[in-house]
Amino acid sequence: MTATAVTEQEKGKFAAFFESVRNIRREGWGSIEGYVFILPLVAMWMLFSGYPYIRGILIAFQDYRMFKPETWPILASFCGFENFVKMFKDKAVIQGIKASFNMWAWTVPFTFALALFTAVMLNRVRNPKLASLYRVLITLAWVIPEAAAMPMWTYLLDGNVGYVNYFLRDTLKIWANPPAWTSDFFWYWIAIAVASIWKGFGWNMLLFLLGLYNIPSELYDAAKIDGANGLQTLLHVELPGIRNIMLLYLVTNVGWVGGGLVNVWTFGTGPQAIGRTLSLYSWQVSFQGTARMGYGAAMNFFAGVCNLILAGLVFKLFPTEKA
Amino acid sequence: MNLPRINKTIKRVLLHVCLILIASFGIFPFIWTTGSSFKTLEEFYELKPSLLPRNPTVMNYVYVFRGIGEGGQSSGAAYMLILYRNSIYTTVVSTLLTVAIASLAGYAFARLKFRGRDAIFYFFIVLMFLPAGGTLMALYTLMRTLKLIDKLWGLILVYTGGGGTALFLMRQIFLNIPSEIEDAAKVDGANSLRIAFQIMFPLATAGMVLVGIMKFMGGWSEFILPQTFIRSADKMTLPIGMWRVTTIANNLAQARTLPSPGVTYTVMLLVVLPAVLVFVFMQKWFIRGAVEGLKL
Repeated sequence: MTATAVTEQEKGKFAAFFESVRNIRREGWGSIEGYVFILPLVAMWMLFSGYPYIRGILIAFQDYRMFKPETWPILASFCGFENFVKMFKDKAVIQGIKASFNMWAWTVPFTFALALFTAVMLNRVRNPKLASLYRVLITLAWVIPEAAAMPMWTYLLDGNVGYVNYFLRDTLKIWANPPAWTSDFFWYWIAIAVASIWKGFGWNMLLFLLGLYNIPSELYDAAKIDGANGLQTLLHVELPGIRNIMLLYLVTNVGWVGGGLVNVWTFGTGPQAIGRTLSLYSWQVSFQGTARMGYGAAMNFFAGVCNLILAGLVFKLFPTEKA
Repeated sequence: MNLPRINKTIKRVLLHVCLILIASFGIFPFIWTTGSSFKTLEEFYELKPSLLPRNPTVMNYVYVFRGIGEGGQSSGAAYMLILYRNSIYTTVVSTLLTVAIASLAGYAFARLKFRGRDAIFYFFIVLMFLPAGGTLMALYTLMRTLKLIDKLWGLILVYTGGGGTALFLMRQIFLNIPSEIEDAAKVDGANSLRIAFQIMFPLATAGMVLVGIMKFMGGWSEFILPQTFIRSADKMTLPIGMWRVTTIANNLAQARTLPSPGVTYTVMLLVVLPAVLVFVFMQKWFIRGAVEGLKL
C-alpha cells in the first residue's frame, strides 16, 4: 500500500513467509494477548477474503452455474482448462481485452502526467491556506461515487444538449462541429478517458504531494545554495524524492487486463458496446442470463495472472531504492 | 522593479493560472450539476444552456423528497430517504467495525511479539499478491450459504472483511510511533493493556481517522458489491438506487413524465453531497494522518 510496504514486499515476500514459518519453532510465546487482538480481523478476513479467494480459483476450473445446484460441488462439474479454451474462441472476450487496453492506454499515462504536474505545482504554493483550498478543489472529484460522477459526464458530453459542446462551439467558438462524444467510435474513448482522469487524478496527486511534503527541507536548501534553478530542483531533488511513489503508481496501474469495470458500467459502454471491458463482460456472464459463474471466474483469473506478470516485470525493471 | 523580480512575479502568476485551470476542471461538473438542479423545465429546452440557472427553483428538490419511486415515477413513499438510510447504516457500521478491528490487529502486528506473528502477517501479504480469480463469484456462493444475500448485514460484513488495506495502514502507523514512549510507560510499571489502550491508541488517532475516512469513502461509493448481493429495491444503497433512478428517469424525462431533467441532477447532487461534506471537513485530519503516519 505505502511505498514502504512495497519495498518490504519486494524483499521477497515468499522467502520472508517461509522464513517466518520456519522461525515459529524457535519463537517464545511472547504476549499472548496478541492473539486476542488479531482474532476479529483474522476471523473476518478468513471468512470473507481468504475462503472466497481460494474457492474463487477453483470455480474457474468448474462449469459452475448459479441456477443449477447440481453443478455446485467441485467434483461434479470439474472441467479442467475448458473455460480458458472457450474464452479465446469467444469474440466478446477478445473485444473485452481490446476495450480494457484502450481504456488503460487513454487513461493511465495521462492521469500520471496530470497528477505529477499538479503535485509539483501545488508543492510550490507557499501560502498554506491557498494550498489547502487548491488541494480540496482538486481532490474533490475523488470522493464522488462513480455512479454519480460518470453520469455527470455523460450528460455534460451529450452530443445534442451537452454543455461541453455548447461551450466549445458557441462560447469559445474554437470548434465549429464538435463530435457526439458518447456515441462515436473514436471519441467515446476520449470521453470516458476524460471522465476517468477527472475522477482518478486527484487521489494520485495527493499521494505525490504527500511524498513531496516528506522530502526533508535541507535538500531544497542545499539545492538552493548550489544555485539550482526550478527545473534542476525538480530533476535532482523532487523526482528522486518521490521515486518510490511513482513506482507504486506504476505497479498498481500497470495491470490493464482486468481494468475498467465501474467506470464503464456507469458511463455506458458506447456504440455497439465497444467499451465493454473484460471484467464487465465477466460480471455479466457470471450474474446475468444463465449465470455461468465458472466461465466468468476463468476470465478474471486470466486477467489476474496477466496483471501479476506485468507487475512482476515492473519490479524487475525498476528496483525500489532502499531508504 | 528589476528584472529578476519581474521574472519571479511572472512565474508566480503562471503557477496560479495553471492551478486555477486544473481546479476549475476539477469542480466544473459540480457547478454544472448544482446549477442544473435548480433549473426549471423551460430552461432545459432552451438552446443556450447556462452554467447557473436564470430562474432558480427548488421544484426538483421538492419532487425528489416528496417521493420519487424506484422506477423514477412519483410514488407515495420517499424512496430517496430509504436509500439514504440504507447507505448511512451500512457505511457507518462497517467503517466503525473496520477501524476497530484493524487498529487492534495493526497494533498487535506492529508492537506485540507473539509466536507466529510474522508467519501470519506474511501469509496475508502472500495471499494478496497471488492472482485473484472468481473471488466475487465465490463470495456470492458463501453469502448464499450463510443466507446473507439481499441483507444489509451481509453487505456490512463483506465491507468489513474485505481487503487488507486498513490493516497495512494501521500497522504502518503503529510502527511509526517512537518506542521511547512505550519504554517509559513500561518503566513506570504500566501493564500491557494500559499501554495499548491508554497510550498507544490515542497516539494513533490521526491514523485511525485516515483509515476511517478511506473506508467511509470506499463504502459510500461501492458499486459492485451491492449490485451483486442486493436484490430488492428497498434494500439498495444510495449510489446504485439513484443511478438506476437517474438512468431510468432520464429516459422518462424524454417521454415527459418527469417534471424536469433537473430531477436527475438533483438526485446526483444528493448522492455526492455527504461524501463531499465528510471530505471537506475531514481533509485536514486526512492530510495530517497521512503525513504523520505513513512516511510515504
